[in-house]
Amino acid sequence: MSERRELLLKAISETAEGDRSSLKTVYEMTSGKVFATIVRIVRDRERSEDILQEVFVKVWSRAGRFDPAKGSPITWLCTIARNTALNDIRRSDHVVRTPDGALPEITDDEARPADEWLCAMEDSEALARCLEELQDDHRRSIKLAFFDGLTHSQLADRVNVPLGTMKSWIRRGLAGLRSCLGG
Amino acid sequence: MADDALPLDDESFMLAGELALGVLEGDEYAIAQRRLLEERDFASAVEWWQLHLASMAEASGELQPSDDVWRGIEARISSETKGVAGIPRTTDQRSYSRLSLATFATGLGLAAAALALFIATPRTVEVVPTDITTSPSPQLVAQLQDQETGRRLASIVDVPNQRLALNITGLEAEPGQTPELWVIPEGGAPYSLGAIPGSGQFERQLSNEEEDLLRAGVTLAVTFEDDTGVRHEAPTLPILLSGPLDPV
Repeated sequence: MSERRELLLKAISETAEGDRSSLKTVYEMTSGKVFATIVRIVRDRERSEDILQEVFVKVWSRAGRFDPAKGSPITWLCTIARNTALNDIRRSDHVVRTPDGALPEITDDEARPADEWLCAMEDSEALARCLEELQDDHRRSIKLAFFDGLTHSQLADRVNVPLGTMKSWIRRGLAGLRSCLGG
Repeated sequence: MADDALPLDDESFMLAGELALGVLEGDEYAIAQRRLLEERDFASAVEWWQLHLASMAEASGELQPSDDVWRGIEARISSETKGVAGIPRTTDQRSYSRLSLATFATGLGLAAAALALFIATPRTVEVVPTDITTSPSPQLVAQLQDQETGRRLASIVDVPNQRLALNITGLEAEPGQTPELWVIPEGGAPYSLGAIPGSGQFERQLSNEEEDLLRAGVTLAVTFEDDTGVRHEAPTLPILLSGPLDPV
C-alpha cells in the first residue's frame, strides 16, 4: 500500500472518531481530485464548490461507514461526489451545454509514481486494462458517461448516434467490463 | 476490492451497472431506483458497479477549489457539532408526536392491535383477524424488521384520517444523520416521507400527495440520510429496512 493511501486511510478512520483536523487532512489530500470529478459533471465552478462542500460534510458524518475491504478511499469519496453531483443536476434538470475542451481532458495518468496513487493500484490497473479491451465506441461512451455525468439520450446527442445504438454500446461495454472484472 | 459472487440475473446486473454509471432516465431510472430500495441483491450489484467504476476517478485530473470551500465546511460542521452539544439539532426541533400504546389502541383500532401483536412477537407476521380481511379496510400496515441488527419499524396508515403512525426500534443514527422513511409506488421512483425518530412511537398527518402514494402493495423503506432538515431526492445505500404495505 502506498504511503499516501495509508495516510488517507488513517485520516478517514480518525475522522470517523470526530477528529476535525483529520477531516482537513482528507480534504487537503483529495479535494483537488474530488472537485475535478464534480466539475466535469456540473460544468459550473461556483456550483461545483457548493457540491464539494456538501460532499465533505457527508464525509464528516459518514466516515464511520467507510469499509476499506470494499474499496479504496478515493473510490469511496468519488462515489459520494458523483452521486451528489448527479443528484444535483437531475434535481435541477440541468443540461450541460459547455463545449468540449473547456475543462481538462480525461487522461490516463499512468506516468505518476505508484506511491502517489490514492486508489488501490490493482483496482485501477484492472479497470484500465478492462477498459482497453473494450471496443472504442463502448469505452468512449462509458468514459463520457462517467466523467461528464451524461444520460443515455445526452450521450446519444453528444456523439450523434441513435439512442438505441448508444444504449447498446453502454450495455455491451458494461458486459465486457463485468466479464473482465469477474462480477 | 471485495468481489463476492452476486446472485442476480444478467439483465438485472446490467441495469444495476447503468444506474451506477448514471445513464438511466425516465421510467428506466424510476424502476431501477425502486429496485434499489426493494432488492438487496440489486443494491449489492449497484454498489459493486459504483466501487469498480469509481476507480476511473484516479484519471479525472485535479482542480483546486477556492479557500472558501473549506471555511464553509468548517462552519457547517461547527453548526452541527454545537447542535449535538447543546443547541437543538434539526431532528430534535421536529415536533414528533409521541403516543402511548393506549392511544394507538384507541385511535387506530384493529391496526393497533396488529401492531401490539407485532411488538410482542416480532417474528410473527400473521396478525390479521380473519373476519376483518373479508371487508374493505381503511387501514394499511407494514412490518419491517432486520433480525441481524434488531432494527424494526411497524407502520400504520389510517387512510380515512390521513394519519401515519410508527413504532420504531433500533434506528438511531450517528450524529449528523437521521433515519428517513421512503415509499416506493409500483413502477415509480422512491418518494421521501421525511425524517423519523430513531426509536419510539411517532405519529403525524399525511399530505394529500402522501396519502395518494400510500396504497396497498407499495413498498416502505428506511435509510440513513444526512440530517439536513429537508427531504432527500433519492435514497442513500444501504437500505436498512424494506417491506410491503398491506391492508388490515
